[in-house]
Amino acid sequence: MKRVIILLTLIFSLILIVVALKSASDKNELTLCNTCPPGFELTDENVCKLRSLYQQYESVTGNDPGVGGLKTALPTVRDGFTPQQIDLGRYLFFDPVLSKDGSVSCATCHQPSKGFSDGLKTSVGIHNTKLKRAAPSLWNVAFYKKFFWDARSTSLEEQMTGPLYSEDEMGTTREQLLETLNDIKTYQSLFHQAFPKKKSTEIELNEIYTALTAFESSLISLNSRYDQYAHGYHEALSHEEIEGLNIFRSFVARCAECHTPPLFTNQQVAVIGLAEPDGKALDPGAQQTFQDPSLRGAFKVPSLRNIDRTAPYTNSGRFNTLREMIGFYSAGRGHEVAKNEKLHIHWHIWEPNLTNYEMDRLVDFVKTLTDESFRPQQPKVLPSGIAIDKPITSQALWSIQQNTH
Amino acid sequence: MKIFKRVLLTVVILAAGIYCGKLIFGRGSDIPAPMPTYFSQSTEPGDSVGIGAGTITGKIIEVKKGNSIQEAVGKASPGDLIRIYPGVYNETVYIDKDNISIQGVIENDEWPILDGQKKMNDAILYSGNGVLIENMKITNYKGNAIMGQAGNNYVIRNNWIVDTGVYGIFPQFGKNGVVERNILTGIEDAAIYIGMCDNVDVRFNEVYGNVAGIEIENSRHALVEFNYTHDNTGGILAFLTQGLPIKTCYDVIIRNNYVYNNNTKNFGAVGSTVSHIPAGTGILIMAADDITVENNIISGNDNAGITITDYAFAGVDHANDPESNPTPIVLPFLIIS
Repeated sequence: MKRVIILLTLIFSLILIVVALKSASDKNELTLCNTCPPGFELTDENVCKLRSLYQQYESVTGNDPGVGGLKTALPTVRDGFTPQQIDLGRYLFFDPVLSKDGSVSCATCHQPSKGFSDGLKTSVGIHNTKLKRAAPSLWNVAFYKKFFWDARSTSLEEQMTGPLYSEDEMGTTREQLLETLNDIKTYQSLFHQAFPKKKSTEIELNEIYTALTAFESSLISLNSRYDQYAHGYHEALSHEEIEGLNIFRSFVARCAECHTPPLFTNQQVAVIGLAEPDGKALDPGAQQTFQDPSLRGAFKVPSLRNIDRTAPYTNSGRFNTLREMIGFYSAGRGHEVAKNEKLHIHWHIWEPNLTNYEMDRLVDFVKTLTDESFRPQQPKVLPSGIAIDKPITSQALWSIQQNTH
Repeated sequence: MKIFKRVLLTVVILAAGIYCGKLIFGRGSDIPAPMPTYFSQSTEPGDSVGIGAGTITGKIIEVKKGNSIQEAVGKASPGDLIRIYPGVYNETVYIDKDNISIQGVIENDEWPILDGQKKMNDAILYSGNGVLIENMKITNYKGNAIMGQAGNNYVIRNNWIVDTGVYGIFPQFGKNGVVERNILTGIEDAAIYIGMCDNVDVRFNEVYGNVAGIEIENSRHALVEFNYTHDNTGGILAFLTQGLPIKTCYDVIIRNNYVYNNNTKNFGAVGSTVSHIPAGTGILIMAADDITVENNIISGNDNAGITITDYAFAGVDHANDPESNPTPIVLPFLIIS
């Protein structure tokens, strides 16, 4: 009898331990958000649709290309992702486990606190590799048709394969990425939440791409003081800022011809004739993308949304301040072009001879394009277990992978 | 005797015909161009095509010499009419509201004058819909006399524009517009420049002494009719320009215009597209598609009456646009009479 009691006690204790362990592991399990980020409405189909005052306006040719003046329609937006896909993308975006050695995440070069850029002249990739170009901001990428400074990519899904698999940036491979994520139980669960219809338990590449696209497409910045002015609240801007707006859209400065509202980019590539810093060889830019010598030195026109947060400026980080950048445009067509270069500079680049007063007002105005009210929260815990903001060594990553087996 | 009279009559008619023909079609003569009767300021109410602009439903705000037009715009609500009385106004006026009308009052041949003193960029900037601007004399600006960005349903008429820098009247990204009965001179690019617009009528204007008289660029459904373009470098242009976000220019009708003696030396800014236009250009169609040129009088343009060409014309220095076709794919339809 005594033995039976001991045995029963033992079994009961074991059950208790198992239950306790299970509940502990349940507590650690992450659940994806079931509501949309701000600015999006959740539909009955459980997808998030963008809602913006700009959607009540029309553009000359319908929504695309979505260029014009104050009350102009936006270009077609990438939306319609589920809240869970957007939230999964958020975890992936901040997780350095996506890189070869667990040291670099998307957020390393696209930091939310720095306008989703990194504050560097040119970015730094894996193993502290200095990269050739500056990290572009990710605000409003949901509206873009071309990606990278040289416009070599036409979708976010295609774009992200650049940094992920570049040996200089995140340095991973498709195989390693799949293996790493499939080995992390929390990610398995999260992908199942985000893609409930999936048949396989394996995480797939296109699901990773979709989730990251969903998150990046949620980074909307359309409620700056400028936008309030555009929608009709004219007190939103000061007298000096309105003066700046008028200089900005005038055909003397011609800023708005390429940095066209409402996105403050016309999404074209243009040659503006910038010299490289420190006597470096000229970056051919879109010449390589389109195999066209006439596009030598052409780059995608960047948006000016949140431009006050993304210094230094240009593809090579040439200018530390907005005032210096504007000074370049005012200093005359082709004044930085090397004698041995024949560049086809855009005709909007001319000699506007702006006064110091005008350049100061332009700075005032472009600073009104700041709106970070929809800045997403960094996850407190990452599914990989890597401490956020503390990139780890490859050894530590190896040990994490071992522990999750 | 009857036969003699008949012969005499025939000779007289023939001589008169030759004289008139020389007068109208003669080249290099110093006889001034005859002024067609339809180039006069309109006095008939309702003469213009009403498309929303200029419908006054609100109050009338009067601006007199010494006061600010912009202050009046600030006070105005949609539907209001702002009347500007004769006097000189040195300011840049911007209209970011819908349905605002600016109307100059011309008294005893005295105009209200917007004068930028060659220090200011633009006389009038608008982004609102349903804007009407009429009866203003505008001079001495560096950028534009009247520039619109994305305002639809606009009417710009009866303005007198002298040397306002790059462009005279420049609606951009606007749908449904009328630009008529304006007189423009001394502009270093296009006097009337319809850029990336849809559904625009350009009628009864007189443009002279500019680099380009009337330019329709990357726009669709434009009518250029009954204009008098003389003594510019180029008279009437239809362009599909590369590197702009709107990639097409088609359905432009150029008819019943008088395109005369456009031989002025090119004084366009270095690097601008129009700086490549040879003096003596009557009508120039560059890379645009589906253009109708009919029933114009084209005379005395020393280089070519009508030129149809691709974007490489005259050595325009440009980067290629992977999304824009630089050659006319539908040949213009010409009726020359």
